[in-house]
Amino acid sequence: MSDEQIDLPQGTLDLLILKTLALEPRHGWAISERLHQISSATLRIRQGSLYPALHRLERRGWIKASWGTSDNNRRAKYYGLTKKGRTRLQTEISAWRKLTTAVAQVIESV
Amino acid sequence: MLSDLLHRLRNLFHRDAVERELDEEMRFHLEQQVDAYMREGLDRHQAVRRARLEFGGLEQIKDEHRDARGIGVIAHLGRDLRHGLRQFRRSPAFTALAVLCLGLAIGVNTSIFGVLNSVLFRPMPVQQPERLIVVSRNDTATFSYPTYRDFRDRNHTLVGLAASLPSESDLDIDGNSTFVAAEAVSGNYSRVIGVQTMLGRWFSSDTEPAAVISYAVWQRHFNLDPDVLGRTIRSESQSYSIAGVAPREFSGIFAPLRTDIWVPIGTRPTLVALQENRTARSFMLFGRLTDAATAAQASSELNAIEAQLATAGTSPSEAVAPIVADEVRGIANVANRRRAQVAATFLTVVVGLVLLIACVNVGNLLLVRGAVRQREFALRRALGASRHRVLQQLLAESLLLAIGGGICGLVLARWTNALLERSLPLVQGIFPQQLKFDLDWRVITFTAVVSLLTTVLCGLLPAWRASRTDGLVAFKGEILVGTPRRRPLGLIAQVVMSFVLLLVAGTFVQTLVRMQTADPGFAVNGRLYAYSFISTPGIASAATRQIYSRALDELKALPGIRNATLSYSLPLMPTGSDCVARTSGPRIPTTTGSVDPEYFQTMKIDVVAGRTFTASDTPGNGAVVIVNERLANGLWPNGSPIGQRVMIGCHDATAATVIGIARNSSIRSLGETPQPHLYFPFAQHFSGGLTAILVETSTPPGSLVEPVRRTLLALGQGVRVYTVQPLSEYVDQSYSAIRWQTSVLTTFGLLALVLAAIGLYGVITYRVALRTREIGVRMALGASRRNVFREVVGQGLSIALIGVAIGEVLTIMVGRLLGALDPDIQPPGIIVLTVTGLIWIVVSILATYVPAARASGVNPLIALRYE
Repeated sequence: MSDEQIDLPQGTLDLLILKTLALEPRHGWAISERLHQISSATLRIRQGSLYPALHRLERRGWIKASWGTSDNNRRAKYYGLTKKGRTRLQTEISAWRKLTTAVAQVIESV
Repeated sequence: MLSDLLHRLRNLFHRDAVERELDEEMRFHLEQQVDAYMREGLDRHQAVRRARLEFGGLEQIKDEHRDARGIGVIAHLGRDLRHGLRQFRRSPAFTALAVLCLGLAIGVNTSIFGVLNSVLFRPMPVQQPERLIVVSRNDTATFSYPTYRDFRDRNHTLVGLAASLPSESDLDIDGNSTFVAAEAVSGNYSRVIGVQTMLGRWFSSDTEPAAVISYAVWQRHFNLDPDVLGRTIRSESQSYSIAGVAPREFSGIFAPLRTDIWVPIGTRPTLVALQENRTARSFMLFGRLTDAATAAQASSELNAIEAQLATAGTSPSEAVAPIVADEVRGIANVANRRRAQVAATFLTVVVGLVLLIACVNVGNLLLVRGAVRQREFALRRALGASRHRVLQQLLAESLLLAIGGGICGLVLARWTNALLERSLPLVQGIFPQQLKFDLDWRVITFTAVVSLLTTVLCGLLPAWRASRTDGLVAFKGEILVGTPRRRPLGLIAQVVMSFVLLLVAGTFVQTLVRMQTADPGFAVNGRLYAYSFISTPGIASAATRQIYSRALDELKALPGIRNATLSYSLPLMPTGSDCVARTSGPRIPTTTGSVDPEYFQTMKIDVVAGRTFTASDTPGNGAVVIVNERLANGLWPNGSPIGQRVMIGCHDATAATVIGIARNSSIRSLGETPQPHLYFPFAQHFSGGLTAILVETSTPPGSLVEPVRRTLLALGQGVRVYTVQPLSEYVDQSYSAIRWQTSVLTTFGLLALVLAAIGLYGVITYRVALRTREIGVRMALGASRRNVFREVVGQGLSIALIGVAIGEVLTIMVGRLLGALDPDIQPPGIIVLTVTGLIWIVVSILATYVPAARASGVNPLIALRYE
């Protein structure tokens, strides 16, 4: 666990989860590992937030869960993006870009 | 939205499966993590420990999930409902009062909605009722037969168009004649309406001498005899063979009024005579849309057909309102439907107010309970319940109350519906019409929705307030209740609403009294009438005249009878309406009646100018009429109409000479402002059908009912006799509608009064309980029992007075509203205003008497010992 881990701003977890699922369906652990990896170990999602978030997304119809077999031949629940989820991801990404650009502008102006 | 709901439902109903899956998913995650740590070099024991630590409490995570899965609210609801039930079991008096209040209010609402449903919403019990349309123009739903034929033959949007003419008629079975509601219909009726028979078949041509009888007639007159098919019945001088029996649930296209028999239009000579007449707009048109067409398309097509005909010159080309095709729902006749809609909406508002009052009541009771239970809420908050949870729990409790009230209301509505059906006045006069108000799924849905609404209405504010309880403060040993407002708005609103309802009831009582005491303008006492009908096939009207002349002669010869005369209709029930104008000038709409020369003398309606009709006013001589004073004034404000010519008819006018002016008398209802009326001589204006024989007696008319009936029946020659009755009884029945409305509204008004009084009583009692200590202190300091008593009563009284004052201001509005509803109703007079005000003042004193007595009985010593 590194000290450089930071708290996620409210609402970004959904975006991150959707993004990790953009390529292929993954199970919960893989999602958290993938996030940890590609954020260069800056982000680690607590399981306590990950699973509720997954279920929330599933309820909104953005992702869909199905049981599959993991690499080590165990039964695991895989989450994949739905069509709705894909659209949502695009919206969230562009919203995030707008936000970060705006925030950056403000920070640099002072 | 839907996926969300399905998801929640799955979570709720497959809770075990879902929990198992969740468990498995968590375990998988944990083990993956352990594997990962072991790969990093930790031994299994350390890896498990570290993974566990990181993972956090397994149960806690699962709990968070449940909220994320959205079953929290629903799962909690079950718990809250059970908790609520226990709470209510502990205070049965409160529960009973609250459920009863809601039940009464929901019950009357359900009942009135049942009426609304059957007159406005319910589709016909036929095949694909949503494709059935009724054609109307400008609120009149009747058309001429040639127009019907044009529409029927030229349209492409309808599968078929049927014509129908409902009428009061006679049904003669083996010589026993009764009054029935008949419907003369075109041959395609059953195909267009989409109705089958439960026995036999429908006639399928316009001229086949066959009839279909209703289930009710089959039951009443044939004892459900399956051999009824083929039997011969007679109606309006024609013979029919019974072809079929209509299904039980189909009481006719004019439901909630019932139809008894259906006959083909072409079998009625009077209707055949209308088939080439473009000015006699007598037929209602019903159509069935093709699968591709909509009602709007049918409307525009019918308008287009009419426009074509107008250019072709076959149809009068005056500017007229467009034709509208509407889906048949509730009352089929659009004009009647509109009228019923106004009345039903009004009743809905009235019972809506009753419901509001009940909600405020229960809301007040809940507020009181909330204040008493503050310590319980504080405890729950201290133990970690969120404010949201407390709110939810309290709303669940009011939901329970509303469910109780809803069930109570449904039971009550069954009973009040039966009462409504039974107490309804004779609809449209001479023969009793049975109305039916069922509790179908619409009504039950309505009740459910109203109950839910009630939950929110009466539960939200108290729950919100109670949930504000601060965990710490309420523990400091005393119950903290915000000082109650001096003038509670809820109570005042209740008083205003119930006062307004009382006022409405009072206004109707006032109208009823006015009708009962008004001078009708014609003689009522010592008069008798008999409805009769000559049912001889093919009899010419001259022969009919002769039979009636003989009837009058024989009646006059009876002892106790001074005079006898004929009239096509009875007063207060004008059968004709027409337009009348000078040879140049605007048309005035007027009611009409055909009377014999001696009518004016018999009914004591003086002919004040000119002459009355004489025996020489026959069809051969020139057409003559008598106008009443109101019509005379309308046509010739500054001159005498005697000898003038008038044009009669709204479309094609015919000329007649005015020969006399009759004094104004009540035409449509008692106590009305004078209405224009036109009298035709019976001899020139008799088209057959039901005729009233009016008799002036020198002995009490009741004793002559049987002799008159016997005399008329003894004439033979197909003379049928229906109602024979003293005229006073008939006049009494004529305001049965308003009497019914008055009793219904008075019931609602009293119900509202009682509910509001209970509310007042409850709140004042509660306040006294809260102020016990304060009252004790004041009494210890020298306030007398009398002072205390007076103050408490004063509180209630001031609320009542404010409410009454606001209510009186609203009166003007209420009066205008009622006037728009029914022209017979005049704004509430000073007596009604005073009496309703006084009732409320007395009730408020009564409602506060008990708490006031309790307050003045406070023992200062005991009250202060709490300190």
